[in-house]
Amino acid sequence: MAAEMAHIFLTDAQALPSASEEQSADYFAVLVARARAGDELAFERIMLATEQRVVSIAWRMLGNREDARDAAQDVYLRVFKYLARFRAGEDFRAWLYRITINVCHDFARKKGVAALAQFGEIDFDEESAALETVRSGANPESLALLEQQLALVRRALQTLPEKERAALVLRDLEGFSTEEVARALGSRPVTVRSQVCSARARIKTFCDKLTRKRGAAQ
Amino acid sequence: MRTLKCKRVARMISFFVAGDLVGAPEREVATHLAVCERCRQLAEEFSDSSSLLTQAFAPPEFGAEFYSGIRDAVLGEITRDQRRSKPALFRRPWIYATAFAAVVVISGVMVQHFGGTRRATPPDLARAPQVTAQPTSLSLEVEVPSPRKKHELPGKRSAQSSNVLALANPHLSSRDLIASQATRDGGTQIEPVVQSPTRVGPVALAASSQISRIEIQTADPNIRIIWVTPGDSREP
Repeated sequence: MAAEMAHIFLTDAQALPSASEEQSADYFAVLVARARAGDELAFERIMLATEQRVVSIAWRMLGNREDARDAAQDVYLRVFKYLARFRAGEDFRAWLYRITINVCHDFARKKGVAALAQFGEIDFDEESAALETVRSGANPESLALLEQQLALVRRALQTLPEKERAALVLRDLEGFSTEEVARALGSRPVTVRSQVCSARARIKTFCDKLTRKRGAAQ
Repeated sequence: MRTLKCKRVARMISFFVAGDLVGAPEREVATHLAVCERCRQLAEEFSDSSSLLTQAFAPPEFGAEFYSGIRDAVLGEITRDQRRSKPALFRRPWIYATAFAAVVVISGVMVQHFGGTRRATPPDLARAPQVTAQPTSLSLEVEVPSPRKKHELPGKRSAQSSNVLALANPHLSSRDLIASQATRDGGTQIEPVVQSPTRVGPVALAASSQISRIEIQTADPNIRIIWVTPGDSREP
């Protein structure tokens, strides 16, 4: 009994890195090694450390809560399945975000045009935290205008090519550096800069056109 | 009016707005925006669209239950997968141990049975001196002069019949040995030919004839070793 307790104590407290080490470089290396050996607790720690970012990326790529949840589950199942292929010394988080982006692309392809048509009208209007803060103090006209603009931006993002959309989400919305985005997407920083630049220009152009149309109609 | 400078700056404005530029390029764009109204407006448009993008995609608060639901679903699926991948039969280690022990016992019995059968050789041959050779082909000829050829007396033949030719080879059965013995007794030439790719079994040769000839075919078909010896000097 005492030996079992000691084993549990060692497993929980010593072998796994503490929460304060979560941002260290070796944190995920230790957890991945443990998870590879079949330690579900280590895999749960990996999920705890990364789930917010994964869900956030999935939500921004897919646009609704349910798809983000399903995508996040799919991401972690793929991570567990292919954990043996993860090479030691590689950036685990970049590998994880690459899987997340790929899963989101798969989801988007499955949903196809139907998802694109609904995008910006269903969940975002209810869930957007920014919109909630604006609602509290804005008049109805400006609120309606802002809602329209946000919906346009969401649709604009969905019109982007896959790679540009992923680069823009990671770089401008998730706040990754260009090098981190390049690692996550498996491309070069120069390519990422080009993709991000093109995506920003497309979104700006898209917003400009719609703003001009709306102004002409009024 | 847009100048060449404007075109160059326009390519960098989105990076400038996002804060990606540092050093000389940043100073160059900032200096140009201070004097160019058109480029400044372009920069504001980029800034507005970037701000709208950030607002539009500000993630909601998902809550702890949302994340715990994801974890539970994933860990549950992993557990189910692991159960599915291992049938109940193979999750019991004693079955592996029993099967291994059975294989060892059966293998031992088979080795003892068949190995003992192959090793059984006549006791006389077992006592014979053993000569080991490794040609790919061994042709052994022992010429024993017949009484007619050598014009010898029949009585002499009985003395020659005491000559012993024994060939011990694991590839030859006792019936083959008897046949070669019969040939030796009735004829004048005995040509036991042994073909073995790796090893020729023990050969015991004791001949007291007048001429003995041994031919050994090597691996090279052009090379044959022929060993001709006169009769045994001890023969009376």
